[in-house]
Amino acid sequence: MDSRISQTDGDEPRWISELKDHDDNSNQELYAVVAEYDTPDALMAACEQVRDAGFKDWDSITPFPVHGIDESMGIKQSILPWIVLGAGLTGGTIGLLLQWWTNAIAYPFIISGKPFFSLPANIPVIFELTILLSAFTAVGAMLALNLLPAFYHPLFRHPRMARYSSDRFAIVIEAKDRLFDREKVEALLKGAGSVGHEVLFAPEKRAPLPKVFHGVGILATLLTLVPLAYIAKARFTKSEDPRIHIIQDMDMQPKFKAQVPNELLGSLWGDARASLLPMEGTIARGEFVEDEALHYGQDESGNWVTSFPVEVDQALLERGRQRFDIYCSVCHGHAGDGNGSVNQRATALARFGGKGMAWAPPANFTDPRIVAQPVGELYNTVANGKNNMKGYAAQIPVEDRWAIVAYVRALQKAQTVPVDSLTDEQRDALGSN
Amino acid sequence: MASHGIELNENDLRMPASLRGLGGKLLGAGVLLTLIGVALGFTQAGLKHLMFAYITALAFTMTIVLGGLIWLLIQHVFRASWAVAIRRIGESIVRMMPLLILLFVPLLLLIATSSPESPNVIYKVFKWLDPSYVSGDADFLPNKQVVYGGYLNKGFFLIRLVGYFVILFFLARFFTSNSVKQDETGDVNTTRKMEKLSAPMIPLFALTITFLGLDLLMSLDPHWFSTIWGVYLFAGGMLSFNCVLALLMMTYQKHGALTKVIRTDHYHDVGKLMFAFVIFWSYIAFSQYLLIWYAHIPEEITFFAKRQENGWEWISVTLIFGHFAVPLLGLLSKHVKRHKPALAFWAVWLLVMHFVDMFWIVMPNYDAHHVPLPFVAIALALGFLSLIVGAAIKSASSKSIVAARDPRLGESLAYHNV
Amino acid sequence: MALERVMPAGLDNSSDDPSGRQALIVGNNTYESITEKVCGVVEDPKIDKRWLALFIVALGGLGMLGALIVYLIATGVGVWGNNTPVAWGWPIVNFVFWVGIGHAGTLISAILFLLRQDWRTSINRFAEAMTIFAVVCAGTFPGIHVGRIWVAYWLFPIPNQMAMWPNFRSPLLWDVFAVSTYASVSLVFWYMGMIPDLATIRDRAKHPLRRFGYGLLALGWRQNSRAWHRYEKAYGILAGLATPLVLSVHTIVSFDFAVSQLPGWHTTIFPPYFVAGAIFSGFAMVVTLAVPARAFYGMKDIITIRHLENMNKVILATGMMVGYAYAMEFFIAWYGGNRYEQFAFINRATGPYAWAYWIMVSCNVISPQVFWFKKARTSIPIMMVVAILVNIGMWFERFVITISSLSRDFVPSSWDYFRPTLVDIGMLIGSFGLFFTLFLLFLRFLPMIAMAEVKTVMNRPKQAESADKPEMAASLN
Repeated sequence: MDSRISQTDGDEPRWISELKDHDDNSNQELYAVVAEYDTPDALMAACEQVRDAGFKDWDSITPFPVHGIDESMGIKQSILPWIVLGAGLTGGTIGLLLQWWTNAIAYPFIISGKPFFSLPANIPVIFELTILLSAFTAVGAMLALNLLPAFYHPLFRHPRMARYSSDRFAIVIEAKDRLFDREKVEALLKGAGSVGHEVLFAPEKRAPLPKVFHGVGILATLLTLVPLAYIAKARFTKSEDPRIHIIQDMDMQPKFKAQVPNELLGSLWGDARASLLPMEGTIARGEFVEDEALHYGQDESGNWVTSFPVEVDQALLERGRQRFDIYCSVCHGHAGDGNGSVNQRATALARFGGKGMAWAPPANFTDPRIVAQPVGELYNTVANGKNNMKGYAAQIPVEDRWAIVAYVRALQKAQTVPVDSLTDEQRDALGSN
Repeated sequence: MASHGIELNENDLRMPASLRGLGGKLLGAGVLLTLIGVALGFTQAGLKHLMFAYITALAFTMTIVLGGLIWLLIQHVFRASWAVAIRRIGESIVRMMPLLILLFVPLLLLIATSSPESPNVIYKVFKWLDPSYVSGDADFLPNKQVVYGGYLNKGFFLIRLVGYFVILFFLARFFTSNSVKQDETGDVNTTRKMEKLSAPMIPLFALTITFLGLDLLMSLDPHWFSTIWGVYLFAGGMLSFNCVLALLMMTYQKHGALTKVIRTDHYHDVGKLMFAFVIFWSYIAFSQYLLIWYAHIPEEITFFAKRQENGWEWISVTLIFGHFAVPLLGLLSKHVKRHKPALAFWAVWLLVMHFVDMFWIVMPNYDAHHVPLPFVAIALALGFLSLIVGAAIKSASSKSIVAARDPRLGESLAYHNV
Repeated sequence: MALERVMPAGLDNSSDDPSGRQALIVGNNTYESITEKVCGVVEDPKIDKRWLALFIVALGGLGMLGALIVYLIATGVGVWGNNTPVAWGWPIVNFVFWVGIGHAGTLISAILFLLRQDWRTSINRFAEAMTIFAVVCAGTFPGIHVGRIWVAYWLFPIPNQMAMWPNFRSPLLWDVFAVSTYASVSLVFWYMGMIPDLATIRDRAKHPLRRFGYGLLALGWRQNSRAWHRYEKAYGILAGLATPLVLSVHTIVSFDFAVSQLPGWHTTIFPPYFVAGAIFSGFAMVVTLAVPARAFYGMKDIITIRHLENMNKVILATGMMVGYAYAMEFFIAWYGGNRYEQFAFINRATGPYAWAYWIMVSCNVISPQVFWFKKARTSIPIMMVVAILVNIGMWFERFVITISSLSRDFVPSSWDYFRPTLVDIGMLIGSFGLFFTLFLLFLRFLPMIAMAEVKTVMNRPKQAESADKPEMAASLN
């Protein structure tokens, strides 16, 4: 495979004369001596000699990493692993702090019963960030320590450089080494078994950067400040404009909101609410009352009814007893004497529990005041409550309320009727219990 | 076989007398420690504690010997050459498989002689042996009755264990005796034979260690289960075996053996394996924990719930830092792996941690309400390990201490870590 | 003092004779011939007709994928077959499938490097490229299956005006980090590995545009030993980092399933099982690609029978690990006595998806068993068939896991059957189009074999070979 650059018949290689054409003002100076070797073992042996001779500014060029050449050249171990370790620990710390701060401090929310700061759940991301930062640092630090990218290097002028990235090996000893002496170096390298050598020249000074680059650089730097300026402006000023909202989704819907006054509706109906009140006389389903006495225990004039609007028979009383035992006996007791289990408990608490335990006992139905109440009023008490007692309208349907009232009347009668008014059979029935 | 200038003569292949003596001393110490452990168990700790401690010690030693077996199988299947120089040391541990099996015998006898009419302490260890425990499960775990009938019962358990021991016995014998045979014959085909058999034996080994671990350790809590159990024990075993190997290599060299044969690079590689398996153990342990913690299913969480209360949480934290974080950082540097005293330190550290791991697995089944004193378990575990290592050294003394006619020995002696 | 390997007579270096290690690069190859062979593909001035035909087909697949993605975004996720309860359908199966395939590349580069397996050098560039492209295919699916793709950036912890942050307690978010890290680290590792080879191509390039392009990519690499020292250190560190990374990525993917409480999903062996399965499918894909490529490009002396045999051994080993995991799941389901778990496995084998289950078992467990026999391991037709079957089987494994567990879980009234739509099928095929488009471009424009690394494992030339080189003398002054 021939060298890519063809040789001319001149005293000096063409590329050197070309250089002199272009860089009129720069001087070419000797950069290095390069010697070629054709096997890795030959190269390593030569490297040992160069190392032992005491050179410092030198290197070997190999198309692949040659194992053992680090010792042959006396290359010290790189600090790269320590840099990577630092980066890895940083990555792990960032992962931990990120997850702790975002999930436990800044935006804590309950999810799947996990604690806000769930260390086991945070491990995967901590691990990934450790690896990510370590890996990027390994590559970045390697390039930085190798001073790469470096698109210009005098070695690229070597006519056989292409071979050194393919199948040949070389040693480069730079002229700036304090032990450098051209003849001695060439002799040393030849003696070590090189198959040829070459001298390299390089300009004394690097060509200056064209002025355009300065301008472009300054412009680019200024341009990067523009977005930052916008951000600063946005951060510290207020604006009345609505924010830019590209993807609308279903964010701004053309609808009336329930609790927000709306002018359009106000102008149409006079009521700005989106949820209008029902019209006068609207009756909700299930709320039509045909028989006022049955439903309210009152007649048209608002007086309590004094007779039952339902048929009072044994079945009604049984139903009333059952319902009474469920709903009423806890406070009023099974006999309607006002000493149900709640009363017993509350009285005990009031006696022994201490401060603030005021208890008004439930009514005793044999109280003359209650005996005197018309059934309509009793019905109203069951449905709507009285004093501390809450109404049971929601739990007890209308028919059952009348059943309870009938049973209450029965209880009252049972406890207030004089014994003398009983027949003999009734007295015997009571006595035998 | 000459190899890059390293010639081995007769002396290099023989174990020095001082080392053989050490083997005897370790054997004696092992017997003594075991007896102390058992005595402590009978007098102070109680039979139930003794049984659980015995199982802890068995788990500790068994994982090391089995770790050695799989290490050996892997060397053969990979056709690796770096370890040929030290393989005989590893084989000496694997050769102790019959001794390990012997250590199981008291346990098996206890199980075999137990019955519902005359239950002994083993009923408190392997609860599924107890018929009243089994019937107690009928309402709450109906599908498990089949398992008690078909798997977790005395008869099949004993048959299975005998089966595992048969497999392990033959595996150990095949790979160690063929290696020794090659010392005389120098037959290259022996290497081929071992390579060829190692591949199918690895899956067989995997199933054996899994079910042995399941039967011995997982069934201590019959209601709990984990599919990764076998892998977890393998990880701990491989790690601990490499620690024992490193320590043995240093012991051999301290007594003047294998001085030409073992290089720093070999220690470096054993150190790398220790490091790799610290990471692997941690990965498996963490996976098991995370999945069970995350789903928090009552039937599974019992395992970790027990181990994060009543003092057991300290043992768990010890494992996190001592079995994972600290040795990870400690073994990271290659200089540590190449420096014998540092490597020995970490080897001992990790063996202690492996004991803590086995203690943490077994003992909460004895007492979940506080961490029991570990002395019986320590005495027994140290005793068993001493027995095995001592017997290994003594047994190795009658053979060549290097696989002298292995075709890859040359590569191993010349082996250079990059 | 490198290892001296035995050179076989022909191209077959699969001999198992323990007395000497077989050469990995056979034929009369020298450092120069390796350079010529590998660079020749990249420097070819003509476009190969067969390559072009395959490329057009792959582009067609890519186009179909693109069109279907546009259709999906415009119409909605309903174009897929996902239903309730099978809310995760083919997209997640495809995602796990492609991520799994990608793992082989990193394994070959990193883990085999740590295990000092020199045979990796012939295939690692190839395999790493496959990793990158597989991860690209993989990343497409979670990206498009989120529903509102235009707010997919919400997955990342970027400060926003809603003052909201992602939920780090979810494995789906761990996935975001894992796959992103994996993609970037693999890319960086692949690129770093290519720098020396790009330098080789740069140095040989005649056309100024080619010289500029490869020169830019090569970053001015001039292969000096001090640079190689740091390079090798970085490479070793990256290998050491990439190894736990590749384990962690598929572990975290397995967590997507295993942290749930679903029978058939929630089992502790998922992490190593998924990793083994990923390596299994990945190696099968490498074999599927390497066999035609080495024949096509005349690389049979660099990617040799021994390389293929070793890959088949890895396929067998990881296939056995996958089989072990299947066995453990089944056994522990029975042992644990949990009737839902038991049902899940019986359902897999005998329920409505039994056809998929048995395809999976026969492809994953049964077909690699032929590799116990050396004849099968070294036979090109057999290994191609097995490799393709393994890939099919591994796709079905993810299908069986995802869909059978979802379609029948705890409450029978919620059970339903999942059917894929044409869009599902089209996107799977299209993803292969994406993969092959990128891969064919790689084969054409980048060095498919790591020249520098291959040269390190060749026998070193002897001193006696350094005869006088007349052409060298003429250029010296």
